[in-house]
Amino acid sequence: MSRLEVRSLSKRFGGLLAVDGVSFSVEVGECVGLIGPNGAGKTTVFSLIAGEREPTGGSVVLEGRSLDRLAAFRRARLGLARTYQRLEVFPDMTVLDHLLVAQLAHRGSTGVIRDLLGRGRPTQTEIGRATDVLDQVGLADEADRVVASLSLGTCRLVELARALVTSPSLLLADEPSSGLDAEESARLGEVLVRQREAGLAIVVVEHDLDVVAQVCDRAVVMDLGRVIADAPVAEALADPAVRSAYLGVGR
Amino acid sequence: MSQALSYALPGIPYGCTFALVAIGLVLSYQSTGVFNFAFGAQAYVAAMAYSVMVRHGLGRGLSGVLAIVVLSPLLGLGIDRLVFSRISPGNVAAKTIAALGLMVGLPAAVTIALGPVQEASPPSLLFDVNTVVLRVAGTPVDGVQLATVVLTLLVVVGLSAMMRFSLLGLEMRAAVESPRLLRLQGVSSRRVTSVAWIVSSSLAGLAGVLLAPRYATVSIDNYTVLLVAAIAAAAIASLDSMGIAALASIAMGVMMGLATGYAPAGSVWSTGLLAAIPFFLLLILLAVNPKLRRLGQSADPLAGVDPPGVPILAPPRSPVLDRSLRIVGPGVLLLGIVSVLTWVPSSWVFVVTAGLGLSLIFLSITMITGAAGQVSLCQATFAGVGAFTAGQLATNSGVPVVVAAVAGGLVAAGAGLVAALPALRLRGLALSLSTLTLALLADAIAFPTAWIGGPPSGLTVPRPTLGPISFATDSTRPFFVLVLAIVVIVGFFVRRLLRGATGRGLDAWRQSPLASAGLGYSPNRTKVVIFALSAGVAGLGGGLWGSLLQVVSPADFTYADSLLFVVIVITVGARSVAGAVEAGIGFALLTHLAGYLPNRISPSSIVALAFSIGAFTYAAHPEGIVEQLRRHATVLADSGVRRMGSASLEVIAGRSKR
Ligand SMILES: Nc1ncnc2c1ncn2[C@@H]1O[C@H](COP(=O)(O)OP(=O)(O)OP(=O)(O)O)[C@@H](O)[C@H]1O
Ligand SMILES: [Mg+2]
Repeated sequence: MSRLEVRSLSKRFGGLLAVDGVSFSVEVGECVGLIGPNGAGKTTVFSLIAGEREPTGGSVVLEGRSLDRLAAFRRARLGLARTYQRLEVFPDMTVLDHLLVAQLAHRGSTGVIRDLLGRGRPTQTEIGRATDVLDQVGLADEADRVVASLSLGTCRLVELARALVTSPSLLLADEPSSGLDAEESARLGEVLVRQREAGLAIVVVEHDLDVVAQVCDRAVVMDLGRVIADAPVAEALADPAVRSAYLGVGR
Repeated sequence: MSQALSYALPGIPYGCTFALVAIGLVLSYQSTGVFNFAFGAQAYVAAMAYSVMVRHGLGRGLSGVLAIVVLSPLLGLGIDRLVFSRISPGNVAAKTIAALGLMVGLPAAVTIALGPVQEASPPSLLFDVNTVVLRVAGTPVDGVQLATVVLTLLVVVGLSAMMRFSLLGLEMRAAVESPRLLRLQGVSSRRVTSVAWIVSSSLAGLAGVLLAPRYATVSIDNYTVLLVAAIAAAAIASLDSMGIAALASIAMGVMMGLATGYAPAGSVWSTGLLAAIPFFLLLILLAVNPKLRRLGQSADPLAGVDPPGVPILAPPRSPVLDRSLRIVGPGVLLLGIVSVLTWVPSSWVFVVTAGLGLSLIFLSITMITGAAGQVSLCQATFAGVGAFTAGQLATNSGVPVVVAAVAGGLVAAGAGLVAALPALRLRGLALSLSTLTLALLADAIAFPTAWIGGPPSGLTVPRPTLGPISFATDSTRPFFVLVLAIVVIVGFFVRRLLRGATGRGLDAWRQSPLASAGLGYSPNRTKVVIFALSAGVAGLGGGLWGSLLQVVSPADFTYADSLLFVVIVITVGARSVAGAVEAGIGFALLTHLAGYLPNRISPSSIVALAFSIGAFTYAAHPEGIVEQLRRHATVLADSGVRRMGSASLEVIAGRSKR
């Protein structure tokens, strides 16, 4: 059974078919690069998988279970995590708070009574887990910094750490390396590779083909809402249809 | 049949009065992107000006022209330039709060300018109430009715044509959608928005002047009731189409005309409930119409171009300052408490106690508005529920007051739960509208009922006795201690909520609903629980407040109080327990101090005006003025401490060198 299966997903915005019958699957411990030129519909595919938008057609299956009727927050609790192309951080929280809130949200209990009894503070295990993940992505020193004061690249790493802290089974990363410097980029690659080896299934949208080559097993190439190639990375990049989509030849 | 007609016909001009306001709401929403809560207040300002000018013998025509064509446009321009042009188009919360500030501030400004007197309603601008101009199917139509119908028609046709066919109308709609795109086209979006404000304000002026003769006195409350009824019609039109809004208004008027005709005279139907038809309609519409639930959310496709707002962060403090503040803060607090208990004159003790009582009600706003980010406009109503429950239980059933006040809190929490369940799916503007409607319903129907709000002479809420201690002594000092203890206890728990999972989850949701849902967070249940709890705290506060005053009446807990309270708490700081207490005591002290001003100036108006001006600063510092001042002071003190610290270090270094 595949970790994720996307079946002929489509999404229409008014007159524009932004996603047009997209199907692909991701196995356990596999990293798939979802690539394609600007406006191909990659981010829209992510938002459909995550449940932020209602698809016009098609379905999404996570570990054999259909997600189609579930709200975004329920999908997240089933083990789906994502990062955002346009940053979605909590500007006046610290880095550590981001990871603590993520665990709290994942738990899903409102806990008003626990709060009133004074047990609403983060537990030692939660703090420990958060510190571990921050270590992994190299943010240990920034733990107490407020996110609004950090650089774009660091914010991307915060989003990545926030997504990983709840030990998801599927990670959707939307352009995680944009805005990162070389050192941060290398660390990002390392983290993704390590997570993949630990069994996480990853879909990553990425314009930096070096990163794709480093971390991905397979590439799904989109253009104008359709999948035009689905093959091992080197093979996909050599495909003439892919080259023309990227270089704009023959349009 | 002819009977039905004779009931329905007067409903048409009646509906037209809603129509004028409903059209104004649609116009200002379409052309400025602001849901203009202040539309009624703008109408009221024009009506007052007209009435005063006529009373001074200026003549109806000239007064009307001055009020509608000169004063109202200037008011609109002023509102745009001084208030809304400083708020970024996407900041819906700031726009709503600024409009609420105007809703509180404009009537207060009028009262300050003209003195706290009742203004009898002026003669009609056109025709007259008492002359029957014509008869339709045997039903007399008076001058005001005719003028209303004719002018409404003209306004609908004229404005619809302007919005649809003229370049200006197109530009106005564009300015709301995306001011940036409009600027890229070489059109000044500021000018367009100013024109939109001028037009909609003139319309408010026209409505105000035209409708003034319908009422016995020119009073803001009438215009607010009119406003909310008109909101129902505008809601039917999804704030989209002026024509539909006008038709819906007239249909509503006819419905009410028929209901008036057929309802048994003198029954509860013909008094309160009838006038409440639009309110119920609005509540239902808000609950069922998904378009209304998303009201006020920005759709600017270029919004992503904006850099994310830079939050104003609490500055870091040096350890020295931190340590000394930790001693100084509680020290000052203790000094204050000891002073109140010993040498402060008892009239001031009363003021401080009142402030503490209010801060309990304000804490409920900290919970729902500060933590959950929802502007509820019926917190004073919940306080009233608490006070009346406490009073009824204590006077009629002999329940000890403290127990009765707690029961009042529970009943208010229950009311809050019932109010919150339909509001579960509402947020933002829709929630504010439905709570405002609930407040008006309580004012009109529930509180005037004797078994709820007590007899017209007022409901007694005695001072409590605890065992041998009686809090009824004249000095208020023991009662101060009791209220202080309750505020400390409630504040302690509210703080736990704010800092616990509840507060942190809501905080994340406020800052990015998308990301928090993506992490598995769903605010729905928490929102309902917080709403009910905050209603309970307001109810408890209301009970204590009643016990302080010893007699309460519906006039103590009106919709206007709810508005004022929200404006005050947001201005001072809605994000912390300390903010609520500062707001309560500050408000009580300021109102008391304003009493020393010349007699002509009403103290409550001047304080309301001051706080409503404060609300305009929300866009600049959402954490509140006091917190802002505190941060400035911290920065100053911190740099001072550092300078002193480094100077003394140099001295030490210099010595050791020698
Ligand atoms: N909310 C929306 N309404 C209308 N059109 C949209 C919306 N969101 C995206 N689109 C359109 O859908 C198409 C796909 O957009 P999407 O953001 O998914 O592309 P992408 O592959 O992620 O591009 P990029 O590499 O630039 O991020 C684009 O043409 C975009 O303009
Ligand atoms: Mg994208």
